[in-house]
Amino acid sequence: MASVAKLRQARKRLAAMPANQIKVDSAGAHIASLSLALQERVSALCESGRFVERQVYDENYRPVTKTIILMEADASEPGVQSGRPPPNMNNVHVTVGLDKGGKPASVKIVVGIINQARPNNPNNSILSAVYPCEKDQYDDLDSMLKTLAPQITALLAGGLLVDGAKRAVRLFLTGDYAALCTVLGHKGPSATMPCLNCLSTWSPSRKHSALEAKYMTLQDVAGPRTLRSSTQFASGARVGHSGSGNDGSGSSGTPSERQ
Amino acid sequence: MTVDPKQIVVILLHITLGVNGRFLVLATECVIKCKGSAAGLRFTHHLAALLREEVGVTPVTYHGGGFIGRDCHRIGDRSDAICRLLLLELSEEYHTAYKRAWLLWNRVRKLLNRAATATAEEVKQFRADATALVTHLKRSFPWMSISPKLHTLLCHAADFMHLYGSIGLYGEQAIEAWHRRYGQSARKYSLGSKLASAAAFMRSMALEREACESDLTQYGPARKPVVLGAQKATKVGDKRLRPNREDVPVCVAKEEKERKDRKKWADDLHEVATDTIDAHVRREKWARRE
Repeated sequence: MASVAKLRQARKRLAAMPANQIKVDSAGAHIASLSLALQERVSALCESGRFVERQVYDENYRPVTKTIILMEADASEPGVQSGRPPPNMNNVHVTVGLDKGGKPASVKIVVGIINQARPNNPNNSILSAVYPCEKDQYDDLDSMLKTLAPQITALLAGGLLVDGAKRAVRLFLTGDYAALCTVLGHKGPSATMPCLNCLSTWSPSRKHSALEAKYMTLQDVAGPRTLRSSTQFASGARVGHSGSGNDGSGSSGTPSERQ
Repeated sequence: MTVDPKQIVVILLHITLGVNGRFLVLATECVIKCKGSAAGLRFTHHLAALLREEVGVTPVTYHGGGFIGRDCHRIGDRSDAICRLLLLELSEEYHTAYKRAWLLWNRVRKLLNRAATATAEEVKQFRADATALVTHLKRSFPWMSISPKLHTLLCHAADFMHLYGSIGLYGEQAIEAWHRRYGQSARKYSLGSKLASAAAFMRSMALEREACESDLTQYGPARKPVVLGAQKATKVGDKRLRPNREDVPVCVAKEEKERKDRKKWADDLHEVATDTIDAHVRREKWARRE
C-alpha cells in the first residue's frame, strides 16, 4: 500500500494532466479540452481491448463496410465537420447530451463514447460541463455553449486516434425534448411543426391545408414522412447553419452561433 | 456546427416515461367513458393503492409527479394487475383494447430500452409493433391525441434502430444518472458559491475518470465472474424474496406523506382524464351538429 503522501503526490500529478484540466468562467465549470479527454478515454478502451466497433447499416440491415480512413484533406469536408462522415469511413460514435435537472439545479453536458460495452454508465461517460442555474432558456444556453461549441468543432475536425489510425467522429445529439429544442432553436411542442426529425404539422387547420397535403399531420398514423434531413440538411449543411431549423429554411444556428 | 436530423437520438427514456403515464391516464379515461366521473375517481384511488401494494411503486416528486424509469418497467411487467382491476369497470370492447395496448407497448418498450445491437428480425418486429401500437391507440380510443413522443416512436424510432442497430445504446440515461451523482455529492463539494462547488465536483470527476472500468482491468486484480444464477433465490423460504422479508418499521410521518402524495396523484389523474373525455364529448356534439 502506498503512503498518504505518495497518494497525494499522485493525485497532484493526475490533476496537472492536460486532459483533466477544468476551466471556470462566469457561466460554469467545463473541461478545458474535450478532444484530449475523449482521446484519453478512447486510448484506454483500445489498450484494455474494450473498444467495440459500432456499425452503420444499409437498407438490407447489413453493416456498411468501412474502407476509408480519415485523412487531413477529409477534415475540411462538410460531412466530417458536421459529425456526419460517410458510412464507409472509419468512425467513432460520440453522443453529446444536455439536460437541466438535479438538486441543486444545474445544466450538465455529458459526452458519451458509444464504442464500449456500457456507454450509459456514468463511469463510462465524460461530464463535460456543469452550469449551476435555475433555468435553461435560450439566452442561458447560449452563454453555456459559447465555450463548448468551438471544442466540438475542433473535435470533429481533428477526429480521434484508434489503435494509431485517425477516425472521424459521428456526432449524435441527445437529451430530453425540451433541451434538444433549445439547442436546435426549435419552438418546441406547440410549434406548427413540432417534430425535430420530419416536417409533419401539429394539427389540422384550414390555413395549413397546403402544408398538411405535403407533409401530413402528427395525427396521420400511416404513410411515409417528408424528413427534414432530405429537404433541409443538404441546403443547411453549410458551416454556421443548422440542418434542423424550425422554419424549414435551414437557416437557424445553435445559440452560440447566433451571436 | 450542423446537426443531421438522422443523428438526433430518439428520446427513449422520456418516451418510456410519457407512454407509461399516458396509459395510466387512458385506463381512467376508459372508466369515465364507460361508468362516469365518480367511478373514474374511485378507480384512480384503487389504482394508486394497487401500484403501491402489488407493483411496489410510488410516484416521485419530480417528472411532473409521475413514475421514474425503473418503476415504468415494473408497471409494464405487471400490467396484468391493472387489467384485472379494470375487468369490472370496463365494457369488454374497451377492456380487450386496453389489454392489447399494454401487450404491444411491452414488446416495444423492451426493445426500445435495450442497450444492445438488435438483430434484423428484431428491427422488423419493432417497426411492426410500433406501428401497430400507435394505430391501435388511435383507432380504439378516438379521444387520444398523438403527442410528439408517440409520433417519434411511430415514425422515427424504427428508422434510427435500422440505421444504427440500437436505440438504447444512444439514450439519455447517462445524463440523468449524472444529475443523481451531482445531487448525492452536493454536500461533499459544498463551497462558497454554486460555481465553486460545481468546479470542485468537475475536478474530482475528472480524476475519477482515471479509475474507470477499462483502466481498472489493466491494473486492478482480476475477479472471477459470478456463476450464472448464483445470486438468485432458489428456495421457497429464501429471505431475498419479497414475501419472506421481515417488515421494516416505517416512520409514521413518512407513511402519512406517501399516503397524501398517492391521494394527490389519484386526484390529478382523475382531473386530467375528465378534461380529456369532456373535450372529446364536446367535439362529438359539435360534429353531430355540423
